[in-house]
Amino acid sequence: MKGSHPLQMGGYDATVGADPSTPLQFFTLPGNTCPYAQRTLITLYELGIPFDITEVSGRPMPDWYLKINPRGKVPAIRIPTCDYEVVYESAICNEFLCDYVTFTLNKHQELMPQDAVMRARIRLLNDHCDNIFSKTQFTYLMNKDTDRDIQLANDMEEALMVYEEALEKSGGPYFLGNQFTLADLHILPFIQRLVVSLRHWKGYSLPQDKFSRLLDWFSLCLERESVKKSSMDDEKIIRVYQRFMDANYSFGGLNQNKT
Amino acid sequence: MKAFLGLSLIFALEIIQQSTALTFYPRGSRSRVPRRPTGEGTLQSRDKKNIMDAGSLERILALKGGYDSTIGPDPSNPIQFFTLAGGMCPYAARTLIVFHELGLPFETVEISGKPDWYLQINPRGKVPAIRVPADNNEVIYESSICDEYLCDMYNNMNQDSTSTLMPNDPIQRARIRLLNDQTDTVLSPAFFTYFMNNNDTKDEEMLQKLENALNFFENALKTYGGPYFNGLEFTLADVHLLPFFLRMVVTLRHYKKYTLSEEKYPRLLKWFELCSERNSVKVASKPDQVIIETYKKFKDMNYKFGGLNKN
Repeated sequence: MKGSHPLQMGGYDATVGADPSTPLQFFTLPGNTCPYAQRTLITLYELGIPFDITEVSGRPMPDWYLKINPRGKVPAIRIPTCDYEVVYESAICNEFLCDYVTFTLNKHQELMPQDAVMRARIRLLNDHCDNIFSKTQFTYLMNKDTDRDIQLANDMEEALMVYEEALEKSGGPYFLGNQFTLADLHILPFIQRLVVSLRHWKGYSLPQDKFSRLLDWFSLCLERESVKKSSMDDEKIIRVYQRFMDANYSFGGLNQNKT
Repeated sequence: MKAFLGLSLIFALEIIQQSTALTFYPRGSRSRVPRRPTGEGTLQSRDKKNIMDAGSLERILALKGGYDSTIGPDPSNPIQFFTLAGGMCPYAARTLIVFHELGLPFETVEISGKPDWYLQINPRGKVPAIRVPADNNEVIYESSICDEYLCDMYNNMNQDSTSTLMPNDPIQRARIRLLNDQTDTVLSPAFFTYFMNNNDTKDEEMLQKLENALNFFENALKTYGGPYFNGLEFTLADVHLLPFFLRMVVTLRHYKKYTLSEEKYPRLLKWFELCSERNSVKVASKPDQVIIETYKKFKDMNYKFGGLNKN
């Protein structure tokens, strides 16, 4: 019955599937605070794919969501036109969306180019973000032992140099050159949070002399419509991160300080 | 005399490097990104001063194919493949399977330890890595990234007959990538943690975690029809799991007295049998006894498996 289900949005039952006239259902946290989900939201806006947002929350996540994504995390997307197939993990969602535009809609997109080397470079940068860089950001932020601050900030800067060097090698202004790609949007939500939270809690800013290209890259990305529409403002970042600080949040293991 | 020979060899190698540079690049695989400045992959680089040293002539002559593999492969081979000496690394085994499935010519360089020259190639010092002279000596590492690159490269070169290792359908690609993510982030930690566990009271709980992880794969075979994970065709989803599955089956049987039951995993066991018949898989696999001996060493040194052993 329409309107009777508590999770009904847009007139359909979100636990079952999006209105078939909507190609895609996008699952995210309330207020879209999750940086991983923000990657996929930027991708959706950049590609101009129509979609429907469903906010999901809970610790643990509700059963109906665990049936959709057994890992209970966001982002996830569900595609009614592809038999309600579910895709999760931000990198996999984003590559899927680019493949969908290229092979299903038969349209040109530039977020994920067709050149094999460029694709490998994008994937390597994204792997670096997830496996090397992001833990340095959260470990520094959450560190309570001031003697270790300098070392942790250095570790983070070393991890970030890979990006500064990528900009130098490609000529910029984006990591692969002229074109904004999945490599830029993968790290962007983390840099947004890094800049605000480290300034607020550590009095730290990225040094201009070391990261002049990266800082220019950051300003340029902030001007994109997709980024403006999907970002939290600074005050909200601080409010969200205050809760993390209060709870000594582990950031899914990325905070490597021993509690 | 030695120095003279050394000089002639250097000039000879330089000539080979330059003249073959143009003739051996396969069409269609040339990169369209701005080229890196020269220095890496050519003999004009820093290594030249090493070559002039006394012992270096012996070093060059002792190297494979008569060239210095720290600089670049023999230009007549399109791709240089870095793997561990002894070939035991399951991650590198994946990429080896892909090379054979695609029939791409390549040259193997075995690494032991983390020599400086290798850290300059792959800063993470791990295998597999590949270096591609046809794409300006581009270096690619991480097995899934290497494997997707090889498929992308193959398909770009063979547009009329693309490989089925990585199909074009977006949903199938997402499924394959999700299965591979499951292999790396759920199954392999569960396997290594269970294998390395010495606390009897925790064995059952860890085995349960492993079986839950395996259920995911059994279900995938059921849902998509099998016999391979994507259905009728062998894909990167099969490649990605195979080297781990082999090691798991052998070591758990030998050290934990555990075998996968026919009742719980009928499709998975059939899948493994079928895949093991492929030539590419045979080439990349090691005999049971070698696996057992290698894993005994891991047990003895309380090996962390790069963090995947959660004990």
